[in-house]
Amino acid sequence: MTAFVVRRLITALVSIVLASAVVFAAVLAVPGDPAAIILGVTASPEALSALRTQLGLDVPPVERYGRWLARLVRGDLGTSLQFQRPVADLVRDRLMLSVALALGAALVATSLAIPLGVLAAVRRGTWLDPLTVLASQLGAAVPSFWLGLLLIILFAVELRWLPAGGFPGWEAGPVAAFRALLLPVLALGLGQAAVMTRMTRAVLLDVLRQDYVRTARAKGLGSTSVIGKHALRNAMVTLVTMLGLSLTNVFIGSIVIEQVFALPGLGRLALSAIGNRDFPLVQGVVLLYAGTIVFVSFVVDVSYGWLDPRIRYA
Amino acid sequence: MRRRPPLSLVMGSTLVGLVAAAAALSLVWLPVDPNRMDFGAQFSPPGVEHWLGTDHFGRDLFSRVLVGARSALLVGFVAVGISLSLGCVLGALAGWRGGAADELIMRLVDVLYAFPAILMALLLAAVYQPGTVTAMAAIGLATVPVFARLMRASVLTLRGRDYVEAGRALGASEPRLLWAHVLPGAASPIVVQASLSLAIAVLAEAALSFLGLGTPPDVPSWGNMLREAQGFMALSPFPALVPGLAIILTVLGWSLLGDGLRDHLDPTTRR
Amino acid sequence: MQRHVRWLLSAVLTFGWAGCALAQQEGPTPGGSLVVAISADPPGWDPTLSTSQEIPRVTYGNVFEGLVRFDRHGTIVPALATAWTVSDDGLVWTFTLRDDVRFHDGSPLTVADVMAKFERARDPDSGHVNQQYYEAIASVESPDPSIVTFSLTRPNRSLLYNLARPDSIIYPAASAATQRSQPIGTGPFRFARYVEGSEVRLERFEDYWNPELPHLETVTFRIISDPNTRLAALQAGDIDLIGAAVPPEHVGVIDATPGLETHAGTATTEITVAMNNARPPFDDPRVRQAITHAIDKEAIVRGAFFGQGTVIGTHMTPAEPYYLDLTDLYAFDPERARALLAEAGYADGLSVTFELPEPYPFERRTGEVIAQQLREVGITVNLAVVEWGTWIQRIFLGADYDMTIIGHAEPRDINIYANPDYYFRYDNPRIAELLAEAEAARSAETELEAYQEIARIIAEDAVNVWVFSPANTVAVREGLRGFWIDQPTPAIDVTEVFWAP
Repeated sequence: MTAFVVRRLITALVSIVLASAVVFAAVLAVPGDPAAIILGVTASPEALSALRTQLGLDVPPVERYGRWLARLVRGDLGTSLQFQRPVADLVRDRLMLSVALALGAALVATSLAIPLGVLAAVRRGTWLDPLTVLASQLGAAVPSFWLGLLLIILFAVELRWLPAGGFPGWEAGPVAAFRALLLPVLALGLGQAAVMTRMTRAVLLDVLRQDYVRTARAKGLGSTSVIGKHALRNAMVTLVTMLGLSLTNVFIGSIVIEQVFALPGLGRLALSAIGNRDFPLVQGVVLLYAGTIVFVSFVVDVSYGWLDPRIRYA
Repeated sequence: MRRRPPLSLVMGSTLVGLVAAAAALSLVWLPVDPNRMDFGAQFSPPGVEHWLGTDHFGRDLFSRVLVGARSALLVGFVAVGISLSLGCVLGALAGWRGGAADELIMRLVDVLYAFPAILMALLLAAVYQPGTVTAMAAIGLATVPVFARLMRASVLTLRGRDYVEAGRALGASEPRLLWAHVLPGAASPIVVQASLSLAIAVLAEAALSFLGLGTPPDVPSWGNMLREAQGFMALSPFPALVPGLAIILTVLGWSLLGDGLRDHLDPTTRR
Repeated sequence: MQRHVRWLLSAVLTFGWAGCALAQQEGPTPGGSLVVAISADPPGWDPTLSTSQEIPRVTYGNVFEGLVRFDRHGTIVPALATAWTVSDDGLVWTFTLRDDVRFHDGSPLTVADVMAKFERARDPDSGHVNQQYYEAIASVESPDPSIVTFSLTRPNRSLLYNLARPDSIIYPAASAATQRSQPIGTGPFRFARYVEGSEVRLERFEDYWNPELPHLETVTFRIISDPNTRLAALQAGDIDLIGAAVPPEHVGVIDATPGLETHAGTATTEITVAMNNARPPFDDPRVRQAITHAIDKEAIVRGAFFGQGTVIGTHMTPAEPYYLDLTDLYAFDPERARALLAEAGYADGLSVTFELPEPYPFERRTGEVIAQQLREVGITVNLAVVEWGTWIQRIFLGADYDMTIIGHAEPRDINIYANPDYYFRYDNPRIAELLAEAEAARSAETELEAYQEIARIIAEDAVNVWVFSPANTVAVREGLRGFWIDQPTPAIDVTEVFWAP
């Protein structure tokens, strides 16, 4: 198991380094002088050269990448041009909100999708199955931000049960935070639930078709017990992958949802950074998102190996 | 024996056909100039004069949603075109060559998994100007890995098949073998995936336009229409409802078409 | 004298009296907190380092004060100075400083702080913006620890006005470097916390020189860029006040919501289509006139803004005393526009890029309508939305653009037309001469005439298209008293705000 984890860890690290190279190279590809783009054409030569030094543009690209990577390892993401504060600090302030949003949405999605998917698979042949399939297909086609707009109209503007946007801050207490995040979490989670319902159903149908399940059924085991003990356990491996996938989906999806609900998370930070040509901030945030995706897939792989020992040796 | 086409295939192709027809129609005929502003008829509900109502400038929503179909299809096709061609070439190369080339190519392709369309668009928009081309490139690049993996898997299974081996023994050149024997076998999963990717691309284009990172603001794309409608939801729901429904129908169309094609082309996966 | 006209005018125009009278009836209750919506993050918090109006919107009167200040009606009233006199020749101004003022860091206000401020304001290397306001100052001296005198090189009628602007606030002499991120002033509220993109919190300053004020304990300015989200947040009870620029389409909705109300006030904003006068085709006055003729301002105000604004014809609003109605000059006439374009050699059409600033929905909306109106006279318009940072850098500072649109919110800012390097790139030395005449004027009439002459010249030259002045609509929760309804200067001054019992 340890060897497997180490192997996967190395792969993940290589992926992160490659991702950082992509992020670094993107800014390298900026047409023209980034310093001039940031400061505009009226900038004095002194200001330009000062900014070039601050951005590290006065050293060759490879060396610059090396330095950047070295600082990255120490958790230094550079300094935001717009806010004149370390990118790492800015990111830390916003990260919690985006993570809470993503986890909440993943929770909503999972707790809806697994029971619905299982039900649809087990009740195959009844009206419930095609209905679930249709609903999940339709749900997967609904843009989350559009759903967010509808939720605002209904629950914030018409019924006035919940705030329409904005975030009071964590220190305002768990109730206020919950109220602020409920609609965004639903907007993000419901679409994902639709996707996951279909996957759960498909996975379970596959497992139910397997011989050992048939045998267990033939031996007279009750339906609940068959599904609980045998089918679900064996479907676990695929479900974990699915969970990891949906976690990254909602994490990325939160970028748009933050904009709909005016939530001060990482996504809005990135959008404002783009507007202000704040390259270090864009790099930092994008790399954080990419790194999270790599990390989640690493965790998924490891738990995969833990759930199904055969994979470790594959 | 001819199988009856699955319902999803019929529904999917009907929906996609409708969207394509709307886009084509918008090129030759529109009920009203989609950019004409009529301050006497702002926020009209659907009616005889404006079939789907009007927006905050009194512009005709039906005409605008028809024109919006163009952006949805164009961005979708170009983006999927990018990812399909790039992904297939890389995947075929990796699968056919094997060894270190396989390892290297797939490692690079896998990195793209870490950059979903929106993230890629954020990165590209920071570097270049946000716009249609940036959006197409971002969506295209982000969906390369699926095609590369599919293609590689197909090539790997087909490479060892008897008729390919036979061809090789007979001295057929490698590119010829790949072209004549391996690619046709890989075609059906690729077509299915292209249809599913188009669904994703339409959603991503709408999201990017909504964020202001996609189609320019004065072009009536569905995402732009939603962004504009956001300010007037309390006055009329139609400017938000109409483009939203258009997106849903198009996405549903492509994904049903993809599912239907899979069932139709490969009954063993039928669920 | 001139200023008296202004006071009277704003008093007559003001709807703010009602709120004020009510406040006196019920008597302020101390305590409570307030949540105010603002639309964007400012570029730092030091109003002397940036002309962004987002900074004074939060800080003016709340965090920072100058020697004098505008009150809610635009009247100049004492702030850190208790009194002032001006010599007969208009060359020496003498201010008496309050002796009981402390900064938020506990240090007392001294003449040294005042002198340091005006050193910075006149030092070209200090980064202090709008240095033209202080051009006439030859020296600042302090003959006595409570007296500051300004010696001028020439009579400067607008000096007092300029000293009331947000640019003229005073902070501790040594703190200039840190004000951007950690503002320290003398106002009734001290700066407590700022989370970028989220909110800024002000807390009651216990040592404020006026023991009667403020009434509130905390004020939170929440940054909500989308007006629709702001509306919904107000309806949902998350915010109590939208202090400026409530979109006209929301007025009916808010008034229909129990517990909420709107108030329409005046503002000094000119929504301006700026043209790059130095760049073809806009270097040809006929093209600029044609563009003015092509724009139906009435339709924009009526249709896109539900009638909540006033059409204007030069860089002045009816809320300002030297207002001149020039809306009939180059009035809406598409045929004339086409003819002028043909005369200028663009009979076959003309292609221009029109850039709209991302954070400002009024401007974007106006710009979209204008683009369509220009297309109708045969101009090809490439519409682009640019982010705020880009707008400032490339368009405003770099003047690298064809056409853009922005609201000039500052009051009394017609002086910008005297600066050939301003982003319109309008070069007419006559404007600077007239401005000097106005400053040196012996009578209010002469001053008024000079200003109106400037207004007429720039309108005749069609430097820009001045589209309209939006009404300043304020939306509040019932029971809130003492807020500003008019915007004599961009500010959400909450010093006198309280909740009715």
